[in-house]
Amino acid sequence: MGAPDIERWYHGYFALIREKCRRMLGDRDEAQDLAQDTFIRLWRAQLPLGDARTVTTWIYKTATRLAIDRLRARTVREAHPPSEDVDPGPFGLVSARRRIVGLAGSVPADELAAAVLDRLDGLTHAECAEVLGVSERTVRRLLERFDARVAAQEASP
Amino acid sequence: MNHPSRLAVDRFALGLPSPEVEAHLAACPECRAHLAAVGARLPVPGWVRSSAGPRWAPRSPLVAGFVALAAAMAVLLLRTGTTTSEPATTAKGPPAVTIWLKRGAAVAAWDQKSPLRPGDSIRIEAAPAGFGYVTVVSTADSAVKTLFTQALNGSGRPVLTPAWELDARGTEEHLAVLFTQAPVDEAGAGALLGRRDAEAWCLHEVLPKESP
Repeated sequence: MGAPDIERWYHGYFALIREKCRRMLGDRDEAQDLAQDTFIRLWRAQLPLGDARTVTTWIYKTATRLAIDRLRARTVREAHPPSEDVDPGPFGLVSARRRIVGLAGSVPADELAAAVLDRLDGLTHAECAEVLGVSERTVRRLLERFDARVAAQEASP
Repeated sequence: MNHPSRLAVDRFALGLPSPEVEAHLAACPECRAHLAAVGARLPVPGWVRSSAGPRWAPRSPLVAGFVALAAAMAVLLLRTGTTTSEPATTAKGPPAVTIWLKRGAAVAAWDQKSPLRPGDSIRIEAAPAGFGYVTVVSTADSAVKTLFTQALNGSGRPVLTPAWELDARGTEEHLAVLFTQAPVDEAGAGALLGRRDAEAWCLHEVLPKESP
């Protein structure tokens, strides 16, 4: 369980984690930092290497939670969030991320997590439910609440 | 175009088959680019190797006297045989055992004399020197109880056990680290205590403990 082992994990999963973090944060440096944090937690979690379903579920759940912590800290710490320097991708990433970042400080974490997975990663409700460990019905409810908050925010002067 | 989720593409990249994702990728350069990005073989930076220290196992009711510990730690080593400033990394010579010890927030090297304290935690790093299996057993009260066993796959690389925290019971902990060519069960382990030959190599550790 030394350097060669962790290098296998790095080659297997780090690029995936990094892409996930970039989608969530939009800033390459901050995403790299979050990806390192997530990867080290993955390494310490002692999941079975090669069990892609278990590992990806763990990565999506953990990275999402950690990103939400950072987004919330960002809203407290910074009047101006880091610039967007990541390829917007196919899911309307930039506008969705702006909505999520704009509400990060005032929305419950489970709603934010559902929104991140649904709007930034393009997960189906079934996949969101699998990652979050909740029912699809709960996912739909969380997203409805999130959308209501977005609508309220956009309607406010 | 309706894209598969990133999770679906990521799982496909890791080898989980999906005809739907495969068909989509054939027609979607955007998702193919994502597939290439997550499959990129990145150079391994230094922080990865420096993160390859002990992985703390979850709590485990392995044996009376020990419970597993989840915590970060720095290093100390006590070697049976030679002492070095680096963890064991060689398969040459006889098998060797390194004991990693953490006491509270501080880490200090055990001098092989001072009693350990309840709450101290240890991990054992075993350098197998060509043996196929390593097994750690507790030999307290003449009863052999397996704490840890692992096949080594011929790598020759050191194996790190889970962490164990010492409790306040008793005045010593008796551990044996068995290196064998074949797997051993508890009954077989008892018969190998003290043996040192090409088929089995036993290193016995007695850890004195402070009285409560």
